[in-house]
Amino acid sequence: MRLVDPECAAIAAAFSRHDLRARLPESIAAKDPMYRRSGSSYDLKSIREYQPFDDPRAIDWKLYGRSDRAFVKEFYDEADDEVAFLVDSSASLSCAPVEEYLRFVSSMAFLLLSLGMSVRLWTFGSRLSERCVAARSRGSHGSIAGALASMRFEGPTACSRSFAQWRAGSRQRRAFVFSDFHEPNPTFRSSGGLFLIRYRTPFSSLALPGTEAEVRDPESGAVVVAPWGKADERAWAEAEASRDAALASIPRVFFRRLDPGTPRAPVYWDALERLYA
Amino acid sequence: MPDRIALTSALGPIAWLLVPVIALLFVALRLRRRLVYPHELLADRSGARPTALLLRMMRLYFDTALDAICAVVVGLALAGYPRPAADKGPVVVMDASASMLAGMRGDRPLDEAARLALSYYSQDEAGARRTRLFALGWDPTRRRHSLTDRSALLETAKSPQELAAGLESSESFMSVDYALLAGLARRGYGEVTLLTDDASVEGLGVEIVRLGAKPPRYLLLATAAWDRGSGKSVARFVAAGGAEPDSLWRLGPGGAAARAKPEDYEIRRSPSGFELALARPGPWAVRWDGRLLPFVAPGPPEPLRARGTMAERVIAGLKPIGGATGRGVMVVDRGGAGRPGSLSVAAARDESWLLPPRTTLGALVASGLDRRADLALGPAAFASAEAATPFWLARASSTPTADGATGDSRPTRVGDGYLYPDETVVTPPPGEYAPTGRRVVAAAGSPPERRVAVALALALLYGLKAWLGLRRRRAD
Repeated sequence: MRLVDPECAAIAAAFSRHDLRARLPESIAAKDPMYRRSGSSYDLKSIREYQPFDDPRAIDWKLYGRSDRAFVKEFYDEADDEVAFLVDSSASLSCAPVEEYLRFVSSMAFLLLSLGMSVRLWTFGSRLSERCVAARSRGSHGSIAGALASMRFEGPTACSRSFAQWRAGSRQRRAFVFSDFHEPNPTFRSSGGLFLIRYRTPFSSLALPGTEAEVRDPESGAVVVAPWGKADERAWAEAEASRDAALASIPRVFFRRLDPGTPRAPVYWDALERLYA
Repeated sequence: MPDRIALTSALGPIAWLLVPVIALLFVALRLRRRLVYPHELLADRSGARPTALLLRMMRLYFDTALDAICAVVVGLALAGYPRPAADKGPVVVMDASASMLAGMRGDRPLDEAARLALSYYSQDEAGARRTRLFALGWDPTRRRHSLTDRSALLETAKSPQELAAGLESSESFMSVDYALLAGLARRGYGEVTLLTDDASVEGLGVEIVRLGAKPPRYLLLATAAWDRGSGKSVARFVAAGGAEPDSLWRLGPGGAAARAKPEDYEIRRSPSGFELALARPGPWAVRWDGRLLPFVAPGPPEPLRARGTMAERVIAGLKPIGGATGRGVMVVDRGGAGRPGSLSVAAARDESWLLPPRTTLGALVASGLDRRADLALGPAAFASAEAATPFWLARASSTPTADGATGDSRPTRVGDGYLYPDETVVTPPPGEYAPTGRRVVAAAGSPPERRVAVALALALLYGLKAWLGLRRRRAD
C-alpha cells in the first residue's frame, strides 16, 4: 500500500516557495544550529554568564559552587519543530475508509518532514498509546509509515481522554488529531496549534433509502435496527452537522471533515498555511 | 375458564394464519442489510422521546406483532371464539296449537302449561333475569307461523286460569312450527323450555316438558270435491273417538252461520266417518262436540278462472284453449307494484282448486300448480319465450294489487278454523287432532356469535397499523 499521496512532493515544494514561508522565523527555517531557537529541550546550546534579564531559576548552581560565578545553560527549543500526531485506532475507524485515512496521516507527516519539522506519532483508542514513533527528517518517514501500516483498529474511542493524556505528558505545542470523533461530546482544550481531522463514511452511502438496516456497533458489538427513511436520514445529517459544528467551534482549532473521495490536496495546503500562520 | 380442548382446536387455524406473517417477517429479515457502523450519531435524535426512539427501532416488529395479533384474532374467530353468549335469561315457550285446547276447560294441556309457566316464573331467583314467556303459534292475518313474546301476560297473570284465558284471546291455536325455536337462541335467550302436548317432538338443546295429551277424538275433513255425476259437492269426513256431527251450518259473508235445511244436504255413513253431499258450493261448518269445523264445498270446476287484474286479461286470451282442453285452469295474479310479481297458472281436473289443509299443514297451496305454465297464453305463446314481455308490460301498467286480493282481508274465526273473505277456509292440520307418528326435532339453534367484538378488535388493530403507517409517512 502506498502511504503517501503522489501530489505531496509537489505541495511540499510549492509550499516551501510560498511567501508565507519567507515570513517564518529564522530559527524554524535554519539548518545551522547557530540560529536555532533557544528552548527547554535537553539538547544543550550553550553556557554563558548570568545576565540581569535572565531568569534566576536558570542559574546552574553547581557551576556557581565551583566557580563562585553565576552561569546559565541554554538549550535548543526542540518542541517548536515537533508536531504531535494522535491517530485514532479504535474499532469505529474500521468503518471509515481506512486506506484513505492512513494515507492522509502519512502524507501529512511526509509534508511536515519535508518542510523541516519532526513528527511524533501516538495512536489512541480508549487511551493514549504508551509508545510513540518519532521521525525527524523526510528520510525517516518510513518509521511513521511502518507504524501506520501496522495499526490495528480495535477497542472503544476516547478522543478527549487521549488528548488530555497527551497534553499532560508531552511538550509539543502543535498536534494533529485524526479520528472519526465518534464519542459523546468530545472536548478539547487548546491554546492553539490543534488540528482536528475527521474521517468518516456517511451512513447514507451504506443504507438503502426506505429500508431497514441491522447495524452492529464495531466498538460495543450492540445491534440496532435502523429504519432509513427520509426523516431518519435528515436526523442523522443534523446530528453529523451538529458534531462538526461543535468541533469547528473550539477556539484556535483547525477542523476539517473528510469523506471517502474528498480531495485531500486542499486540506494539506490549508493545514500547512494554518500551521505556519 | 376457557375450554382447553376447544382452545386447542383454535391452534390449527391460528398456525395457518401465522404462516404468511412469519414468512413476511422472514423475508423482511432476509432482505434487511447488515452493516457495521457506530451507533452514536445513528441512534441520536434530538428531542425524541425514548418511546419514539423505541417505536422507530422496533417498527418492523410492531408491524409483525400487529399482523400476528390479527392472525390470532381471526384464528380464534374461525374456531368459534369468543364463545357466543346467551345473556337474556331463560325462556319458556308454550305450544299454542289446536291440540292444546283439547279436553274440558281446566283440564286442557293449555291449563297445565299455564300452571307450569307460572311456577317457573315464581321460582326465579332474586336478582337473576326473569323467565320470559313465548307463544309458538300461527298468525291468521299473515298466514304464517309465529313465535310471539307473551311475557306481559305472564307478569300480569295472577292465576293459571287468567294466563290461559289471556293466551286463548291472543293466540289462534292452529298449528306450530318448531323450527322457529332456533330464533330464540339467536336473539340471545339461554335455556329454552318447551311446554307441549306433542309426543312426537324431540328436543335438541331444548328442554321438552310433555303435557298430558288427550285421547284422540276428532272429526276432520278428508276431501271435498265436485261430483260431476250427482251434480253435488261431496265432502268426506273422518271421525275418531266417537266424534259425531251435531249439526250443519251454512256460512255467510263475515262468518255469519245459518242452520242448513234438510234439503240442502245428504249425509251418508262411511267406514272412516261420513260423507256430506251438498247442493250448494261455498263455505260450510260442521258442529261436533260443541266445536265448529269450517270447510269449503267446492263448486264445479270452471274451465278458466282468474284472480287479479292481470290474470283476468290472461284468461281473456286463454278462453279458447281452456274450452278446448276441458281442463280447469286458474290464473293467479301475485305480487304487486314495487315488488316482484309472478303469474301462476294452476291446472286441475275435477278436483278442488286448493289442496286439502290436512296435506299442507294449514298452508294455502293451489292444486295442480304448474310452474312451466306460468307465462303461457295460447298455442303461439307456448312456443315463444318472448311471450312474457307483453304479459309483464301489461302487468306493470295495471292497477297495483296485493296478493291478488282486494278489500278487507282480515279472517274471521269460525270454530277451529278461519274463514277468509275470498271464501277460503284454514283449519288446523290433522296432526293437531291425532298423532301422526312423525318425529319432529325442536332445535335450540346457536346463540349469537360475537362478531362485533371480533370486528372491533380487528378494526382497532388495523387502525393502529394505519396510524403507525401515517405517522411514519408524515415523519418521512
